[in-house]
Amino acid sequence: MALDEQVCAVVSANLEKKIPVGRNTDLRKDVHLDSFGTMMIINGLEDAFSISIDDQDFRAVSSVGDIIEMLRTKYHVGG
Amino acid sequence: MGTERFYDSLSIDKSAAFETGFNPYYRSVEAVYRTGALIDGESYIDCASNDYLGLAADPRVKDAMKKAIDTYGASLCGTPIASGYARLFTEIGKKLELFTGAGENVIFPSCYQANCALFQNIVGESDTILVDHYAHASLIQGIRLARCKVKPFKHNDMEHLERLLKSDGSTGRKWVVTESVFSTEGSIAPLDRIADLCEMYDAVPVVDDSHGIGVIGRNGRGILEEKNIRGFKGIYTASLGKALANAGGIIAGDPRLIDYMKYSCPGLIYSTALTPSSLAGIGAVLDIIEAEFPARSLRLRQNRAVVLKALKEAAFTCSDGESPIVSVICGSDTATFRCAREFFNRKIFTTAFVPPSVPPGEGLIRIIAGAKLGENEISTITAAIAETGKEING
Repeated sequence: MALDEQVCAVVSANLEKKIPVGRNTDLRKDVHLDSFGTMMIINGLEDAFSISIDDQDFRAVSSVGDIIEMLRTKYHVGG
Repeated sequence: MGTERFYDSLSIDKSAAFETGFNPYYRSVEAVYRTGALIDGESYIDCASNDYLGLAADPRVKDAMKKAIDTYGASLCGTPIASGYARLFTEIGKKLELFTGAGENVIFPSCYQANCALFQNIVGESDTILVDHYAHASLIQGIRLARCKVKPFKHNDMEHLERLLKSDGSTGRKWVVTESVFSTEGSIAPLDRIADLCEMYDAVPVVDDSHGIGVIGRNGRGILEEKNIRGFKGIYTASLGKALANAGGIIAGDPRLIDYMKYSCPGLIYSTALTPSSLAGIGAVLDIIEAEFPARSLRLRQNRAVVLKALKEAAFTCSDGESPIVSVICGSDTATFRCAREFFNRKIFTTAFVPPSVPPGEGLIRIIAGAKLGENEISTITAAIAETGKEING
Protein backbone atom coordinates (compact mmCIF):
# COMPACT_ATOMS: atom_id res chain seq x y z
CA MET A 1 0.00 0.00 0.00
CA ALA A 2 1.34 3.44 -0.87
CA LEU A 3 2.30 5.73 1.99
CA ASP A 4 -0.60 8.11 1.28
CA GLU A 5 -3.11 5.29 1.51
CA GLN A 6 -1.57 3.86 4.65
CA VAL A 7 -1.56 7.21 6.44
CA CYS A 8 -5.16 7.93 5.43
CA ALA A 9 -6.15 4.48 6.69
CA VAL A 10 -4.46 5.04 10.05
CA VAL A 11 -6.02 8.49 10.46
CA SER A 12 -9.45 7.19 9.47
CA ALA A 13 -9.20 4.22 11.86
CA ASN A 14 -8.51 6.58 14.77
CA LEU A 15 -11.31 9.07 14.21
CA GLU A 16 -14.53 9.07 16.22
CA LYS A 17 -16.61 9.97 13.17
CA LYS A 18 -16.63 8.31 9.77
CA ILE A 19 -15.55 11.01 7.33
CA PRO A 20 -13.65 10.78 4.03
CA VAL A 21 -9.94 11.27 4.68
CA GLY A 22 -7.48 12.47 2.05
CA ARG A 23 -4.29 14.51 1.80
CA ASN A 24 -6.26 17.75 2.07
CA THR A 25 -8.17 16.78 5.19
CA ASP A 26 -7.63 19.55 7.72
CA LEU A 27 -7.01 18.09 11.16
CA ARG A 28 -8.59 21.01 12.97
CA LYS A 29 -11.40 22.19 10.69
CA ASP A 30 -12.49 18.85 9.22
CA VAL A 31 -11.61 16.47 12.03
CA HIS A 32 -11.85 18.72 15.14
CA LEU A 33 -8.75 17.05 16.53
CA ASP A 34 -8.18 17.46 20.26
CA SER A 35 -5.13 16.38 22.29
CA PHE A 36 -6.31 12.80 22.80
CA GLY A 37 -7.37 12.54 19.17
CA THR A 38 -3.87 13.63 18.20
CA MET A 39 -2.40 11.04 20.52
CA MET A 40 -4.53 8.28 18.97
CA ILE A 41 -3.26 9.17 15.51
CA ILE A 42 0.36 9.40 16.66
CA ASN A 43 0.09 6.03 18.43
CA GLY A 44 -1.56 4.54 15.33
CA LEU A 45 1.22 5.83 13.07
CA GLU A 46 3.89 4.56 15.45
CA ASP A 47 2.34 1.08 15.44
CA ALA A 48 1.77 1.06 11.69
CA PHE A 49 5.31 2.12 10.77
CA SER A 50 7.25 0.83 13.81
CA ILE A 51 8.64 4.25 14.58
CA SER A 52 8.64 6.58 17.55
CA ILE A 53 7.25 10.03 16.74
CA ASP A 54 8.35 13.13 18.61
CA ASP A 55 5.25 15.06 19.75
CA GLN A 56 7.02 18.29 18.80
CA ASP A 57 7.14 17.19 15.14
CA PHE A 58 3.38 16.76 15.16
CA ARG A 59 2.73 20.29 16.41
CA ALA A 60 3.54 21.78 13.00
CA VAL A 61 1.15 19.41 11.24
CA SER A 62 -2.24 20.75 10.16
CA SER A 63 -3.37 18.36 7.42
CA VAL A 64 -3.08 14.70 6.50
CA GLY A 65 -0.75 15.80 3.69
CA ASP A 66 1.51 17.37 6.30
CA ILE A 67 1.61 14.06 8.19
CA ILE A 68 2.64 12.24 5.01
CA GLU A 69 5.43 14.73 4.30
CA MET A 70 6.60 14.64 7.91
CA LEU A 71 6.85 10.84 7.83
CA ARG A 72 8.69 10.94 4.51
CA THR A 73 11.20 13.65 5.35
CA LYS A 74 11.77 13.30 9.08
CA TYR A 75 11.18 9.59 9.61
CA HIS A 76 12.19 8.27 6.17
CA VAL A 77 9.02 6.26 5.82
CA GLY A 78 7.79 5.24 2.41
CA GLY A 79 11.08 5.87 0.59
CA MET B 1 11.22 37.31 30.61
CA GLY B 2 10.23 40.23 32.84
CA THR B 3 7.42 39.88 35.32
CA GLU B 4 5.13 42.24 33.41
CA ARG B 5 5.70 40.35 30.17
CA PHE B 6 4.95 37.12 32.00
CA TYR B 7 1.58 38.38 33.26
CA ASP B 8 0.83 39.87 29.83
CA SER B 9 1.44 36.46 28.28
CA LEU B 10 -1.38 34.89 30.30
CA SER B 11 -4.41 35.37 28.10
CA ILE B 12 -7.76 33.68 27.64
CA ASP B 13 -9.63 33.84 24.36
CA LYS B 14 -12.86 35.62 25.26
CA SER B 15 -13.79 36.49 21.67
CA ALA B 16 -16.96 34.35 21.74
CA ALA B 17 -18.14 36.28 24.81
CA PHE B 18 -17.42 39.61 23.09
CA GLU B 19 -19.12 38.56 19.85
CA THR B 20 -22.27 37.37 21.59
CA GLY B 21 -22.29 39.93 24.40
CA PHE B 22 -22.62 37.06 26.86
CA ASN B 23 -20.21 35.23 29.12
CA PRO B 24 -21.85 32.04 30.46
CA TYR B 25 -19.14 31.51 33.06
CA TYR B 26 -18.83 32.71 36.64
CA ARG B 27 -22.45 33.80 36.86
CA SER B 28 -22.95 34.87 40.43
CA VAL B 29 -25.42 32.62 42.27
CA GLU B 30 -26.82 34.55 45.21
CA ALA B 31 -29.26 32.00 46.58
CA VAL B 32 -30.62 28.56 45.81
CA TYR B 33 -34.20 27.51 46.39
CA ARG B 34 -36.21 24.42 45.65
CA THR B 35 -36.41 24.69 41.88
CA GLY B 36 -33.89 27.26 40.93
CA ALA B 37 -31.37 29.90 41.70
CA LEU B 38 -31.13 33.65 42.13
CA ILE B 39 -28.52 34.95 39.72
CA ASP B 40 -27.70 38.63 39.34
CA GLY B 41 -30.87 39.39 41.29
CA GLU B 42 -33.19 37.36 39.06
CA SER B 43 -34.74 33.90 39.32
CA TYR B 44 -33.60 31.16 36.98
CA ILE B 45 -34.64 27.57 36.52
CA ASP B 46 -31.51 25.61 37.25
CA CYS B 47 -30.57 23.16 34.51
CA ALA B 48 -26.85 23.66 35.07
CA SER B 49 -26.36 22.17 38.51
CA ASN B 50 -25.45 18.50 38.93
CA ASP B 51 -27.96 18.25 41.79
CA TYR B 52 -29.71 15.42 39.94
CA LEU B 53 -32.04 14.33 42.72
CA GLY B 54 -32.77 17.83 44.05
CA LEU B 55 -31.34 17.20 47.49
CA ALA B 56 -28.78 20.00 47.91
CA ALA B 57 -31.39 22.32 49.43
CA ASP B 58 -33.41 19.60 51.20
CA PRO B 59 -34.19 20.61 54.81
CA ARG B 60 -33.12 17.20 56.12
CA VAL B 61 -29.71 17.58 54.51
CA LYS B 62 -29.30 21.13 55.76
CA ASP B 63 -30.32 20.10 59.30
CA ALA B 64 -27.77 17.28 59.36
CA MET B 65 -25.08 19.70 58.26
CA LYS B 66 -26.06 22.31 60.83
CA LYS B 67 -25.92 19.70 63.62
CA ALA B 68 -22.45 18.67 62.48
CA ILE B 69 -21.32 22.30 62.53
CA ASP B 70 -22.60 22.57 66.11
CA THR B 71 -20.55 19.49 67.05
CA TYR B 72 -17.38 19.99 65.05
CA GLY B 73 -17.33 23.64 64.04
CA ALA B 74 -16.79 24.92 60.50
CA SER B 75 -13.77 22.72 59.78
CA LEU B 76 -11.29 20.52 61.60
CA CYS B 77 -8.61 22.60 59.90
CA GLY B 78 -6.26 19.73 59.38
CA THR B 79 -5.33 16.87 57.14
CA PRO B 80 -7.21 13.62 57.80
CA ILE B 81 -3.95 11.89 58.69
CA ALA B 82 -3.45 14.29 61.57
CA SER B 83 -6.21 16.36 63.18
CA GLY B 84 -8.79 16.27 60.41
CA TYR B 85 -10.21 12.75 60.75
CA ALA B 86 -13.69 12.97 62.29
CA ARG B 87 -15.59 9.82 63.33
CA LEU B 88 -17.91 10.70 60.46
CA PHE B 89 -15.21 9.68 57.97
CA THR B 90 -15.48 6.09 59.20
CA GLU B 91 -19.27 6.19 59.39
CA ILE B 92 -19.91 7.77 56.00
CA GLY B 93 -17.09 5.80 54.42
CA LYS B 94 -18.84 2.60 55.48
CA LYS B 95 -22.17 3.86 54.15
CA LEU B 96 -20.55 4.67 50.81
CA GLU B 97 -18.86 1.28 50.70
CA LEU B 98 -22.18 -0.51 51.14
CA PHE B 99 -23.96 1.87 48.77
CA THR B 100 -21.56 1.66 45.84
CA GLY B 101 -20.34 -1.93 46.20
CA ALA B 102 -16.90 -0.60 45.25
CA GLY B 103 -15.03 -1.66 48.39
CA GLU B 104 -13.34 0.34 51.12
CA ASN B 105 -12.72 3.98 50.38
CA VAL B 106 -10.86 7.12 51.27
CA ILE B 107 -12.56 10.50 51.09
CA PHE B 108 -10.92 13.51 49.45
CA PRO B 109 -12.01 17.18 49.44
CA SER B 110 -13.04 16.75 45.79
CA CYS B 111 -13.08 14.12 43.08
CA TYR B 112 -10.89 16.32 40.89
CA GLN B 113 -8.30 16.16 43.66
CA ALA B 114 -8.80 12.41 44.04
CA ASN B 115 -8.35 11.76 40.32
CA CYS B 116 -5.27 13.97 40.13
CA ALA B 117 -3.76 12.32 43.20
CA LEU B 118 -4.53 8.72 42.29
CA PHE B 119 -2.40 8.06 39.23
CA GLN B 120 0.76 9.85 40.30
CA ASN B 121 0.71 7.84 43.50
CA ILE B 122 0.34 4.34 42.08
CA VAL B 123 1.26 4.33 38.37
CA GLY B 124 4.86 3.58 37.35
CA GLU B 125 6.73 5.19 34.48
CA SER B 126 6.87 1.90 32.58
CA ASP B 127 3.11 1.40 32.87
CA THR B 128 0.57 2.09 30.12
CA ILE B 129 -2.72 3.85 30.68
CA LEU B 130 -5.45 3.20 28.12
CA VAL B 131 -8.12 5.84 28.51
CA ASP B 132 -11.43 6.66 26.83
CA HIS B 133 -11.09 9.57 24.41
CA TYR B 134 -13.82 11.52 26.17
CA ALA B 135 -12.63 10.97 29.74
CA HIS B 136 -13.13 13.86 32.14
CA ALA B 137 -10.50 16.58 32.45
CA SER B 138 -9.72 15.52 36.03
CA LEU B 139 -8.79 12.03 34.84
CA ILE B 140 -6.70 13.51 32.01
CA GLN B 141 -4.84 15.80 34.39
CA GLY B 142 -4.25 12.91 36.78
CA ILE B 143 -3.02 10.69 33.96
CA ARG B 144 -0.62 13.38 32.72
CA LEU B 145 0.89 13.54 36.20
CA ALA B 146 1.66 9.83 36.04
CA ARG B 147 4.30 10.35 33.29
CA CYS B 148 3.74 6.97 31.67
CA LYS B 149 2.71 5.92 28.16
CA VAL B 150 -0.87 6.98 27.42
CA LYS B 151 -3.00 5.32 24.77
CA PRO B 152 -6.46 6.83 24.30
CA PHE B 153 -9.11 4.56 22.79
CA LYS B 154 -12.11 5.65 20.74
CA HIS B 155 -15.08 6.54 22.87
CA ASN B 156 -16.75 3.40 24.29
CA ASP B 157 -15.17 1.41 21.44
CA MET B 158 -14.41 -1.98 22.94
CA GLU B 159 -12.92 -3.35 19.70
CA HIS B 160 -10.40 -0.53 19.64
CA LEU B 161 -9.65 -1.04 23.33
CA GLU B 162 -9.10 -4.74 22.83
CA ARG B 163 -6.79 -4.12 19.85
CA LEU B 164 -4.71 -1.77 21.97
CA LEU B 165 -4.61 -4.19 24.92
CA LYS B 166 -3.62 -7.05 22.66
CA SER B 167 -0.86 -5.14 20.90
CA ASP B 168 0.59 -3.43 23.96
CA GLY B 169 4.09 -4.70 24.50
CA SER B 170 5.03 -2.57 27.49
CA THR B 171 6.71 -4.21 30.46
CA GLY B 172 4.77 -2.35 33.13
CA ARG B 173 1.22 -2.60 34.35
CA LYS B 174 -1.75 -1.77 32.14
CA TRP B 175 -4.60 0.45 33.34
CA VAL B 176 -7.91 1.06 31.59
CA VAL B 177 -9.54 4.33 32.59
CA THR B 178 -13.05 5.53 31.86
CA GLU B 179 -16.00 7.46 33.19
CA SER B 180 -19.24 5.65 33.92
CA VAL B 181 -21.53 8.40 32.63
CA PHE B 182 -19.76 10.79 30.31
CA SER B 183 -20.34 14.26 31.63
CA THR B 184 -20.70 16.14 28.34
CA GLU B 185 -22.95 13.85 26.33
CA GLY B 186 -24.42 11.39 28.80
CA SER B 187 -23.42 8.05 27.28
CA ILE B 188 -22.72 5.17 29.66
CA ALA B 189 -19.52 3.13 29.53
CA PRO B 190 -19.80 -0.64 29.00
CA LEU B 191 -17.93 -1.19 32.25
CA ASP B 192 -18.89 -4.86 32.37
CA ARG B 193 -17.12 -5.42 29.05
CA ILE B 194 -14.19 -3.27 30.16
CA ALA B 195 -13.86 -5.34 33.34
CA ASP B 196 -13.90 -8.54 31.26
CA LEU B 197 -11.21 -7.21 28.93
CA CYS B 198 -9.09 -6.18 31.89
CA GLU B 199 -9.41 -9.67 33.33
CA MET B 200 -8.41 -11.17 29.97
CA TYR B 201 -5.42 -8.90 29.41
CA ASP B 202 -4.28 -8.49 33.02
CA ALA B 203 -5.12 -4.79 33.25
CA VAL B 204 -6.58 -2.79 36.13
CA PRO B 205 -9.86 -0.99 35.39
CA VAL B 206 -10.38 2.51 36.82
CA VAL B 207 -13.82 4.11 36.63
CA ASP B 208 -14.96 7.59 37.60
CA ASP B 209 -18.63 7.26 38.58
CA SER B 210 -19.20 10.94 39.34
CA HIS B 211 -22.27 11.29 37.13
CA GLY B 212 -23.45 7.76 37.88
CA ILE B 213 -23.50 7.55 41.69
CA GLY B 214 -26.99 8.40 42.90
CA VAL B 215 -28.23 8.49 39.29
CA ILE B 216 -27.99 5.13 37.54
CA GLY B 217 -28.61 1.62 38.77
CA ARG B 218 -31.95 0.31 39.95
CA ASN B 219 -31.42 1.82 43.40
CA GLY B 220 -29.17 4.68 42.36
CA ARG B 221 -26.04 2.91 43.47
CA GLY B 222 -24.12 3.79 40.35
CA ILE B 223 -22.33 1.98 37.58
CA LEU B 224 -21.55 -1.26 39.40
CA GLU B 225 -25.24 -1.78 40.11
CA GLU B 226 -26.23 -0.58 36.63
CA LYS B 227 -23.96 -3.14 34.98
CA ASN B 228 -24.53 -5.83 37.63
CA ILE B 229 -20.84 -6.03 38.48
CA ARG B 230 -20.04 -7.89 41.70
CA GLY B 231 -16.60 -8.16 43.23
CA PHE B 232 -15.16 -5.31 41.17
CA LYS B 233 -11.39 -5.70 41.19
CA GLY B 234 -10.55 -2.27 39.91
CA ILE B 235 -10.41 1.25 41.28
CA TYR B 236 -13.51 3.38 41.65
CA THR B 237 -13.69 7.12 42.05
CA ALA B 238 -16.72 9.35 42.35
CA SER B 239 -17.73 12.87 43.17
CA LEU B 240 -19.86 13.46 46.25
CA GLY B 241 -20.81 16.85 44.83
CA LYS B 242 -23.33 15.85 42.18
CA ALA B 243 -26.27 13.56 42.96
CA LEU B 244 -24.92 13.22 46.49
CA ALA B 245 -25.47 16.95 46.71
CA ASN B 246 -22.44 18.05 48.64
CA ALA B 247 -18.68 18.18 48.12
CA GLY B 248 -15.85 15.71 48.21
CA GLY B 249 -14.73 12.70 46.25
CA ILE B 250 -13.85 9.10 46.94
CA ILE B 251 -11.34 6.57 45.79
CA ALA B 252 -12.55 3.05 46.50
CA GLY B 253 -11.18 -0.41 45.98
CA ASP B 254 -9.03 -3.09 47.53
CA PRO B 255 -8.29 -2.47 51.25
CA ARG B 256 -4.56 -2.62 50.52
CA LEU B 257 -4.93 0.22 47.99
CA ILE B 258 -6.96 2.32 50.40
CA ASP B 259 -4.53 1.84 53.27
CA TYR B 260 -1.66 2.70 50.94
CA MET B 261 -3.40 5.87 49.75
CA LYS B 262 -4.25 6.93 53.31
CA TYR B 263 -0.61 6.94 54.32
CA SER B 264 1.24 7.80 51.14
CA CYS B 265 -0.91 9.98 48.88
CA PRO B 266 0.30 13.60 48.92
CA GLY B 267 -2.99 14.80 47.43
CA LEU B 268 -4.71 13.52 50.58
CA ILE B 269 -2.26 13.89 53.42
CA TYR B 270 -1.09 17.39 52.57
CA SER B 271 -4.60 18.78 52.16
CA THR B 272 -7.18 19.98 54.65
CA ALA B 273 -9.84 17.32 55.15
CA LEU B 274 -13.38 17.58 53.86
CA THR B 275 -15.48 19.24 56.55
CA PRO B 276 -17.55 17.13 58.97
CA SER B 277 -20.66 19.06 57.96
CA SER B 278 -20.20 17.88 54.36
CA LEU B 279 -19.87 14.30 55.58
CA ALA B 280 -23.05 14.65 57.62
CA GLY B 281 -24.87 16.05 54.60
CA ILE B 282 -23.71 13.13 52.45
CA GLY B 283 -24.95 10.72 55.12
CA ALA B 284 -28.38 12.36 55.08
CA VAL B 285 -28.51 12.20 51.28
CA LEU B 286 -27.67 8.49 51.28
CA ASP B 287 -30.53 7.86 53.73
CA ILE B 288 -32.94 9.80 51.50
CA ILE B 289 -31.78 7.94 48.39
CA GLU B 290 -32.42 4.60 50.13
CA ALA B 291 -35.98 5.69 50.89
CA GLU B 292 -36.91 7.87 47.93
CA PHE B 293 -34.81 6.96 44.91
CA PRO B 294 -37.52 5.29 42.81
CA ALA B 295 -39.78 8.38 42.85
CA ARG B 296 -36.93 10.86 42.32
CA SER B 297 -35.37 8.78 39.58
CA LEU B 298 -38.70 8.51 37.80
CA ARG B 299 -39.14 12.30 37.86
CA LEU B 300 -35.56 12.76 36.63
CA ARG B 301 -36.14 10.43 33.70
CA GLN B 302 -39.53 11.86 32.89
CA ASN B 303 -38.09 15.38 32.91
CA ARG B 304 -35.30 14.29 30.61
CA ALA B 305 -37.72 12.68 28.17
CA VAL B 306 -39.90 15.79 27.96
CA VAL B 307 -36.93 18.13 27.53
CA LEU B 308 -35.34 15.93 24.87
CA LYS B 309 -38.61 15.75 22.92
CA ALA B 310 -38.97 19.51 23.05
CA LEU B 311 -35.41 20.03 21.85
CA LYS B 312 -35.86 17.69 18.90
CA GLU B 313 -39.15 19.35 17.98
CA ALA B 314 -37.34 22.69 18.01
CA ALA B 315 -34.82 21.26 15.51
CA PHE B 316 -31.87 21.09 17.88
CA THR B 317 -29.27 18.37 17.40
CA CYS B 318 -28.95 16.51 20.69
CA SER B 319 -26.61 13.98 22.25
CA ASP B 320 -27.68 10.39 22.21
CA GLY B 321 -26.76 9.19 25.70
CA GLU B 322 -28.79 6.98 28.04
CA SER B 323 -28.30 9.01 31.21
CA PRO B 324 -30.30 12.05 32.43
CA ILE B 325 -27.80 14.38 30.73
CA VAL B 326 -29.13 16.05 27.57
CA SER B 327 -26.75 18.07 25.45
CA VAL B 328 -27.51 20.42 22.59
CA ILE B 329 -24.78 20.25 19.99
CA CYS B 330 -23.92 23.80 18.92
CA GLY B 331 -20.52 23.66 17.17
CA SER B 332 -18.39 26.78 17.32
CA ASP B 333 -17.69 28.67 20.54
CA THR B 334 -19.78 31.59 19.28
CA ALA B 335 -22.73 29.33 18.41
CA THR B 336 -22.47 27.70 21.83
CA PHE B 337 -22.41 31.00 23.70
CA ARG B 338 -25.28 32.31 21.58
CA CYS B 339 -27.40 29.30 22.45
CA ALA B 340 -26.54 29.61 26.14
CA ARG B 341 -27.43 33.31 25.98
CA GLU B 342 -30.84 32.62 24.44
CA PHE B 343 -31.68 30.12 27.16
CA PHE B 344 -30.33 32.47 29.83
CA ASN B 345 -32.42 35.36 28.49
CA ARG B 346 -35.44 33.09 28.95
CA LYS B 347 -34.40 32.37 32.52
CA ILE B 348 -33.04 28.88 31.93
CA PHE B 349 -29.56 28.39 33.39
CA THR B 350 -27.52 25.84 31.43
CA THR B 351 -23.84 24.84 31.17
CA ALA B 352 -21.86 25.79 28.07
CA PHE B 353 -18.99 23.51 27.07
CA VAL B 354 -16.28 24.80 24.71
CA PRO B 355 -12.68 23.61 24.18
CA PRO B 356 -10.75 22.28 25.96
CA SER B 357 -13.72 20.61 27.69
CA VAL B 358 -14.88 19.33 24.29
CA PRO B 359 -13.02 18.89 20.96
CA PRO B 360 -12.60 22.06 18.84
CA GLY B 361 -15.76 22.94 16.95
CA GLU B 362 -17.92 20.63 19.08
CA GLY B 363 -19.24 23.05 21.66
CA LEU B 364 -22.47 22.11 23.39
CA ILE B 365 -25.00 23.19 25.99
CA ARG B 366 -25.72 20.66 28.72
CA ILE B 367 -29.16 20.54 30.29
CA ILE B 368 -29.84 18.53 33.44
CA ALA B 369 -33.55 18.72 34.25
CA GLY B 370 -33.16 17.49 37.82
CA ALA B 371 -35.75 15.77 39.95
CA LYS B 372 -36.45 18.99 41.84
CA LEU B 373 -38.13 20.47 38.75
CA GLY B 374 -41.89 20.00 38.70
CA GLU B 375 -44.46 20.35 35.94
CA ASN B 376 -44.49 24.15 36.05
CA GLU B 377 -40.73 24.39 35.65
CA ILE B 378 -40.66 21.80 32.86
CA SER B 379 -43.42 23.66 31.08
CA THR B 380 -41.40 26.88 31.27
CA ILE B 381 -38.34 25.05 29.96
CA THR B 382 -40.17 23.55 26.98
CA ALA B 383 -41.63 26.96 26.09
CA ALA B 384 -38.15 28.47 26.29
CA ILE B 385 -36.80 25.67 24.10
CA ALA B 386 -39.46 26.33 21.46
CA GLU B 387 -38.71 30.07 21.40
CA THR B 388 -34.95 29.55 21.41
CA GLY B 389 -35.32 27.03 18.61
CA LYS B 390 -37.15 29.61 16.47
CA GLU B 391 -34.48 32.20 17.24
CA ILE B 392 -31.53 29.96 16.46
CA ASN B 393 -32.78 27.32 14.03
CA GLY B 394 -35.34 29.45 12.20
